[in-house]
Amino acid sequence: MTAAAESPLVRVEDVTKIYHLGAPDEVRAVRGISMTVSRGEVLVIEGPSGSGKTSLLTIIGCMSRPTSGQVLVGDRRVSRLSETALTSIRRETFGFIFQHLHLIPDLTVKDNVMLPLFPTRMTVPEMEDRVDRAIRSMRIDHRRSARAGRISGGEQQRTAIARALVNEPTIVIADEPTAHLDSELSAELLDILAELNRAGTTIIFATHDPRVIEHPIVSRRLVVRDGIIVEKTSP
Amino acid sequence: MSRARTFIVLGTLGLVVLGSLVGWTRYESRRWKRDDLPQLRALSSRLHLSDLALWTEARYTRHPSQADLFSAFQDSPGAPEHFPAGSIVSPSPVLTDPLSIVASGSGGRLRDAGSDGRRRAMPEERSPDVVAARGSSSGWAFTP
Amino acid sequence: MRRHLKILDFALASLQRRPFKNWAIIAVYAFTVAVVASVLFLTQSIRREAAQLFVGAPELTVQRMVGGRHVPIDIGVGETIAAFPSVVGVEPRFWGYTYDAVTESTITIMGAGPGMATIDLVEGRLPTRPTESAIGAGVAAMWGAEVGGEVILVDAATTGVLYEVVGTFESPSDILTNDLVVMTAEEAALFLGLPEGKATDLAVRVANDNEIDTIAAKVKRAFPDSRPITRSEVLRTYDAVFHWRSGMMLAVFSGGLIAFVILAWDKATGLSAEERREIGILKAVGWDTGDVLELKMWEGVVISSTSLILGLITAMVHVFVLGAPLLTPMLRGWSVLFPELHPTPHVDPYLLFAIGFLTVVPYVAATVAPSWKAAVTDPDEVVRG
Ligand SMILES: Nc1ncnc2c1ncn2[C@@H]1O[C@H](COP(=O)(O)OP(=O)(O)OP(=O)(O)O)[C@@H](O)[C@H]1O
Ligand SMILES: [Mg+2]
Repeated sequence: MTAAAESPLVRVEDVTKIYHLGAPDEVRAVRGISMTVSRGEVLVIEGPSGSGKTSLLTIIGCMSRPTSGQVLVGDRRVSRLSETALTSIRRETFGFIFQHLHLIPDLTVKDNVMLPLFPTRMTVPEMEDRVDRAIRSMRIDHRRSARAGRISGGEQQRTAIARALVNEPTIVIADEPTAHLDSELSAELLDILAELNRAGTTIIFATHDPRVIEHPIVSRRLVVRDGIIVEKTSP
Repeated sequence: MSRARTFIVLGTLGLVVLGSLVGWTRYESRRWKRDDLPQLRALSSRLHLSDLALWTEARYTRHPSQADLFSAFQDSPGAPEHFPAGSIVSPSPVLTDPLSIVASGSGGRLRDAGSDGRRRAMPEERSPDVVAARGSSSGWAFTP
Repeated sequence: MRRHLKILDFALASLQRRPFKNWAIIAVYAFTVAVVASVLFLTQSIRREAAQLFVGAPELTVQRMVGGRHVPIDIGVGETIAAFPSVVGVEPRFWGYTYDAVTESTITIMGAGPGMATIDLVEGRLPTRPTESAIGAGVAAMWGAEVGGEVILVDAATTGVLYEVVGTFESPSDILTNDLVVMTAEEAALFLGLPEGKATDLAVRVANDNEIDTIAAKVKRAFPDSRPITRSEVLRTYDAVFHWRSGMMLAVFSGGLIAFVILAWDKATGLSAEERREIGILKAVGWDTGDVLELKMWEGVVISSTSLILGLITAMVHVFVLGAPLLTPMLRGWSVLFPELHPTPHVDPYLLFAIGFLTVVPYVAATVAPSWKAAVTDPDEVVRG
């Protein structure tokens, strides 16, 4: 952790997330979690399947609003923001690598990577430039005009990362990024993310993959079980 | 962006084509008004034409403005009726068969048009007999 | 502005993914627009032509009615009417029909009253002797006759009569003269079997247009069994007639229209799981609800405005350049002698606007509305595979 004076990027205060509130199939996915995300760290959120990792990540990443509790991004209270403002925070601050990638299969790699930039004020040359850099850094240049559904799993993974990076986010959130990769590709992915982290990007993983948890770049671990934090470790 | 530009260019092109077609129709319509219309009006005035020669199947289609007010079902054999009855009842073959038309008349004889002398020389053509002859062949009950 | 263009750009990329499907929709849509517009263009331009033409028609036609039907009128009635103030002249009209069983066509016989024999739009001249006739283009084509040739017609006494063709009507007048055989008035009366002293009806020229209705009322009072038809009634008839015809054509095509609506409905409302997922992805990567709806709007605008423009151009070329060949079979009905249509190009801008509005707005609405629900849901829904 860096100097205490520096305020955290994201602060989560006593947050709960209840799906289908009041219905018979009500699910309490997050049951009172407080935590912070600091600049430059690599945070791993660990826990068995169904423990609430993805739910917590979507709350941190401003993709869903908590049922109760507060989320602050910088010093802005998410609950007070309009949808548009929230969307622009999400766009400017976070890059998501989804558990299931969520590429649009019949768009080209290039268009997929460009997706987050369409609704911005950025000029077209700027956009092209960003996309070029992201694609090149992921080494998928040669596939840029191929449809995302027709490239290999590893290439898809890298396309998804390129898309998460194209808006140059401060925080990259990766939800079980290695779940569908063999060890070679996982290692490559972790190398890419390690390099990003060295360049200053904050990274949050949700995983139960020991290859990630035991990777040297990890600076902090939170273990979640049944929607609450049961263990905190900072090596 | 290039896609958007292409679309806008093509769309504008389409609008220009459409616009020039509209312009052309205006021009043509003005030309018709200037060149053809006076002649057409003169013709319609000379021959006292009051209707469009579009549909010849019945009086109420050939001369809609002149037709009887009450009877929709008129003037077969040209017009099998549009109304439901027309799809079931067709005009009598007596009215449509060339042979029976000729047979019912003056035996398929030809006459010269107009020549009044000739016409008067054949008074039977316009006499009640002829009417009767035609009448009886189309099944009329009364003959003079 | 730039943002809107970029979203349009993405909409095009998005449509490009299914080129076959989208072009098929455009084709069907443009076809529907073309058909509806063709019918409207054609009927509107014929209607307008009629309205302009019959300014030359008699101000008043007087018929005699017996038993609700139109019967020959005494020519003597004309003398009485001619004495009414403001009446410039009265002329008996001798006209009627003859059915030619060989060609199975109904021909209109028209007597040419006194007046000039040579006139514009007649190649040759009008008949001046009983053995002569001038014929419309349809009759000429049917009989293969031209000036100098002959036609044989069967008269009221079912006698075949031979006429020399001294004139044919020229093409711009087809819509008035296609099925005409014009003879001298006397010969027409004879041919049609009109009794001595009777005419089919009387054409009345009135000097002052404001007086037409007064004269009509006077005629009706003087001859209770008469039916005066004013020129404005003629025009009104033509306004009404085409509603019926175009209505029928539209009814025939409403099948296609309904099919299209179903297609559009299915396409638009049946937001597939895939499309829903796509909207979720867009939201997850930083599009807000407005952006997603704008995207959907552009998709609708691209499809519908392309179809609209293509459809309108097709309809104009079809109706005004080609003479509506695809509508003619439906318009002609049972007619055997049907004029070749060369409607005078005329397009009411209001009509174009109405077609455009009715084409684009419902389609865009049908595209945007169903996406609404998907666009407002939180993106986290999509995050779970
Ligand atoms: N939209 C939803 N509606 C209803 N229940 C939900 C929803 N999202 C998550 N849940 C439930 O909330 C709980 C937590 O789910 P979550 O996806 O956060 O777990 P997870 O730790 O990411 O699991 P995994 O490792 O399998 O991805 C689960 O029981 C899940 O079924
Ligand atoms: Mg998960």
